[in-house]
Amino acid sequence: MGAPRKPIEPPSAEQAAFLQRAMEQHGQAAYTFAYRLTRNEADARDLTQEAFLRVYRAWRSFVPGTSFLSWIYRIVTNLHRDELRRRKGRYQEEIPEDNAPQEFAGDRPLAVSPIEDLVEGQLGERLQRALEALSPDQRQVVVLADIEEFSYQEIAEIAGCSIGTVRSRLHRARAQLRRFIQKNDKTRS
Amino acid sequence: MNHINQEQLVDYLHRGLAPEDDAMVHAHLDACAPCRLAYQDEASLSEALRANARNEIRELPSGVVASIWAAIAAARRRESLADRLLTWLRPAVLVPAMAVVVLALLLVPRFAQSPPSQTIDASYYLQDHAALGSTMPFADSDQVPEALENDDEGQTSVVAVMPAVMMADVAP
Repeated sequence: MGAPRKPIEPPSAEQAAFLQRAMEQHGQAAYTFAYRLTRNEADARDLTQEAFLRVYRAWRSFVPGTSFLSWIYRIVTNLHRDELRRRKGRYQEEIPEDNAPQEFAGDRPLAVSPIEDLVEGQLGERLQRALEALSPDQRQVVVLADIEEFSYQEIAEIAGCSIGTVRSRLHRARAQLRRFIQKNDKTRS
Repeated sequence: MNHINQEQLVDYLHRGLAPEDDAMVHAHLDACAPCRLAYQDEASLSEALRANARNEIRELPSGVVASIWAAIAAARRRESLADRLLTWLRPAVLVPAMAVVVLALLLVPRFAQSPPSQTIDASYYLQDHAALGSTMPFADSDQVPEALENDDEGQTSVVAVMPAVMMADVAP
């Protein structure tokens, strides 16, 4: 996709073994991550295939002792971004990079619809729809922060953006998830 | 006392605050029930996301693994073909080959285009005359070979003079 390709090296048992090991140990995580980003299996398959081909080509650039998972998540993230750019013609940040905290003073109202009050089955279904409604950037940061539990610093490295951007995307994504769940809750009740 | 804003709660939940802010939020949550409730709701959202994600875990399909190996094999085949072509294009082979081609281009037209000569060498007439003269010394005194009639002036004079010289030699 996109960037100039590194040529595939002559057959090397070591290189093939590296790829084999990577797919065995991290294939499930990479494919699940790709599915969580794309929300569909066909795109997740394409994304994972291209990601492991990049792992194969660039296997020498992996530094032993560092997190392979972070590396392949970064590859998947970049490929996903490239693919979105190709599909849209141009890929624009869908939310402003404004990270100004909102001042909150006075009495905090009790949560109208606490998440924990929702029945698990209902919530799962709503969460899936809410996740699908997020922008790709917002979905990515939610997956990395809440599901994979990476730190802001690690997410910034994987996504190739600043920590401020990670914060901003996460805050807006969670606010949107909450709005989506509560809106659906009201329409049902 | 101001409550903790939503962003700070989210950052606290994700361990994204500076140590002093983290300590401040921690102390505030201990003392403030509404903020604690708001924090628990944020934590519930994260837990719900994780619970939902556990249902989404997927094994890497075997078809994807097979496609990856097939793509690598295909790329290797393409590359080995390109390598073979590049072997022939390396300077040690390419420079002499180009030299031969250039030489051929220079020389072939020269040979191919040189037209067959339409002129008759003057020695032919001398030999012809000598042969004629040896058999019939006086027969050619006023004869000019047919081909010579269309030839240039200089050649005519050479051949035309000869019979006179020979006649002088045999004159009594």
